Amino acid sequence: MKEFIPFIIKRLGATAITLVVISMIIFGVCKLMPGDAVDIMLGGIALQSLGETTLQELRKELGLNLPVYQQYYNWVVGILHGDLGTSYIMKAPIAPLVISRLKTSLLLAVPASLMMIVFGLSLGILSAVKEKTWIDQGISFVSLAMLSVPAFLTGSLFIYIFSVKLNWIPAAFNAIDMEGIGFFKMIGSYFGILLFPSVTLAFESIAYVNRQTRASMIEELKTNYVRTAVLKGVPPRDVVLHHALRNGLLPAITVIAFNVGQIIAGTVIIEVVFSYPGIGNLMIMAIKFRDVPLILATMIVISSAYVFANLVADLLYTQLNPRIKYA
Amino acid sequence: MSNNFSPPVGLKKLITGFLNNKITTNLIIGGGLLIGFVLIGIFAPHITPYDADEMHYEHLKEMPSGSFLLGTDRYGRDILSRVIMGTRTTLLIASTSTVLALFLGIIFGATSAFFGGRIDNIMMRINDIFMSFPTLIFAMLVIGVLGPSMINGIIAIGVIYAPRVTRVVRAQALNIVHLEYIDAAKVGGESSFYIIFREMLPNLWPTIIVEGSIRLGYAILLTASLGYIGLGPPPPTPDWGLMAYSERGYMFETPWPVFAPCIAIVIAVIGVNLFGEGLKDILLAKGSRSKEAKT
Repeated sequence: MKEFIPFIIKRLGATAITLVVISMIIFGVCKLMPGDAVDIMLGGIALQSLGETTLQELRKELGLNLPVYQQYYNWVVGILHGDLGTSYIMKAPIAPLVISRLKTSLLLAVPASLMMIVFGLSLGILSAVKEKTWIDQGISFVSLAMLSVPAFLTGSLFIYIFSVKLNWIPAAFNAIDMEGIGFFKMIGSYFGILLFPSVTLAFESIAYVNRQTRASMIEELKTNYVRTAVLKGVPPRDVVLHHALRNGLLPAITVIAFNVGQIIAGTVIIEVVFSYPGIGNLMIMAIKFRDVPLILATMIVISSAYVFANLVADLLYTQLNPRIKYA
Repeated sequence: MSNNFSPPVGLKKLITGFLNNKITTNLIIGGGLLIGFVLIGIFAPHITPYDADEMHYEHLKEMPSGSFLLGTDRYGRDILSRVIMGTRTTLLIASTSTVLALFLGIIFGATSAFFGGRIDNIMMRINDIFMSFPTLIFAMLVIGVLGPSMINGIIAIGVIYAPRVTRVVRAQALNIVHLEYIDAAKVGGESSFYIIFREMLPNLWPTIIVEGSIRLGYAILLTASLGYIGLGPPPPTPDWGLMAYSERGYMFETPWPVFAPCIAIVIAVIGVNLFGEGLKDILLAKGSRSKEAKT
């Protein structure tokens, strides 16, 4: 524990540097975008009639006449003050919009992460215990299939079965109003309809976690200490859950945390499939309309969430594994 | 130093592997599917029953029938023809971007391992930062800014997968960089360039080939996903992802325009994955790759 504090500080520092570099890349690439922001804002129609002086004033107002590093600095300072800028298209401050969209996205991502942990681990343990039986082979086959199927196929299948054929869920989720409904109603609507996009989101990650858990559990179940426990007469259930799982869980945790990041980034596809009003659809809209401040905001939010998920993975892993050296 | 040409270790291992009957069912099925898709991609315009962009106005949104084996889409275009033409688009983007990723990854990975020390350290920190960028988001950024097209898709996918290849190549290169023959070459006064590409690279091929097959599977899925969110080649290019997206509003009438390209994607990815598993059995000793590189 003594070495743990400097380790955390070191990791936090590295994460901060990563975020700075990522924000530089996002900002830099966006600055390469052809066409001036003013053109995009005005749609290129009124350009001639406005006159050069008006355009210059507009650029000045948006801070576009400043050198790029100064623009970047202003943008970062803005973020640190909770100001993500103003959308060109919607002519409104971005921060509240992104936050509300992020909430709707998390409504899918958090349950998906829970599903990944529960199903990924339990299926992995089950296949390891039943190694080389039809149960194991069945689970392995299904998880290989889950890895080869693009998320939009799973989503489209759900829509086809549950919306087109059975009419249980709407084909497009953008009509659902997430604002202002109570917590319990939210839970209710979750089990009604949101379960389907969530499951779709969790699909690929369940397969990854399952495969990793299976592999590490099989390795653990062959070790001497497990054999000793079995010979001592410890009930098989306890051997698996208390002895083997404690070590077998470690590699799985890395994969789980990595996949939490994948789930966050993966919502983009799921939101398009289900026309779900989350942050991913907002980002795609921003890209289509070339709304630079909105692109920057959505990308930095999703990337930061991803980076933080990986940080938590690292910290958890080192905390749980006493053998690791704090490097 | 003799400069006699000898085939790279990867190729040698492959040939001896084939000769020693190390061919598994995975390799046969995967390789068969892969060759099939490549042939379809090459001869696509000659084997489509109709022109992929031809609109049959009397046959809109039809279910599969004798004349249209997979039905038609909302413009009356033949789905089978479009799926066949889409093979070409998807395979071209996925394979070219994989080659780009391998090319960059080999250069950075082998160089980093060879020089070691501070250079290696700095390069790996930069690599880590690129790896903590979600793949899809990075691809969306690049394509969103440069505009959706085939070449931009290739650049985006190639660049985002390069750090992942770099890591694998470097790990393998670190295993051989301290071997005697590398030292001998150094003492013999060979240039770093020569040592990296003529002495080290041949021994890295097995790893690179296996990594390439894994990357290809991911690249196909990413290409399709980008097409699905409208950042692939622009319409009317027959692209699997784009087809599934643009027809999804008509699933009430016929689901085939959505599911046919999806099924093609799944078969292609399964083929590549099985082929990769087969290659792995031949090229890499058991257990040498227990920790698989992820995404």
